[in-house]
Amino acid sequence: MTTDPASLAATASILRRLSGSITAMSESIAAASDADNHQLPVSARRAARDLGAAGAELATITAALEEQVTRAAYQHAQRMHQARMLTDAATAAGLVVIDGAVEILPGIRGVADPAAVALRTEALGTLQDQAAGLTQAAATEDAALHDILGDIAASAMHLADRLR
Amino acid sequence: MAMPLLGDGAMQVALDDCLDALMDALRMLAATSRENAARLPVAPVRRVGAVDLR
Repeated sequence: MTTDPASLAATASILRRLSGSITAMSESIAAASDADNHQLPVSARRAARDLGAAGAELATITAALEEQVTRAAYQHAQRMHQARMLTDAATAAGLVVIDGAVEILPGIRGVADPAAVALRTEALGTLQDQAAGLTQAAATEDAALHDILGDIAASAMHLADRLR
Repeated sequence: MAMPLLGDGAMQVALDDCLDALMDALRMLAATSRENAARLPVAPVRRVGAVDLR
């Protein structure tokens, strides 16, 4: 799948509906496994109970993934916005962003003006710090999300293996 | 600006792996449901596009 914000949001929406459908199915089956339901033999009630429990577990896993995909969509959109803001601020200060680093536009320009040079140098430091902060925060968020996705995948694989 | 985005390789692979695992679990649940369908009062999983739905 692609991981642009719109695709992530669409995926989250599908996962939300899927989780709801599985929950409804699980509740329907769980009702059949009710101990008072004497229309079914014990073995069928047990099968229904196990199936309902597996369905409930899958619904929980699906809902957890939906939550993470929704969060990822938000984070992605937020990062794009932050990057755009930083680039605009750099341009306004007479700076340029190259490969994620804020730099002074190369070349000789205009009349030597110590005040303007000092302002640009100050802006350079500030924006470089902001860029580094954003990159670091993104890396931290990604590492956490990566771990959570790994846990969710492991839960799903474990459930599939139990059902196999 | 080249900010690390979620479209980067590792995160995309992690998401794909997660979705694959989820779909595998869903397939197994559907298979188990079909095996038990004859014994249960309702068909637990409906196959999309199937003609004969219980």
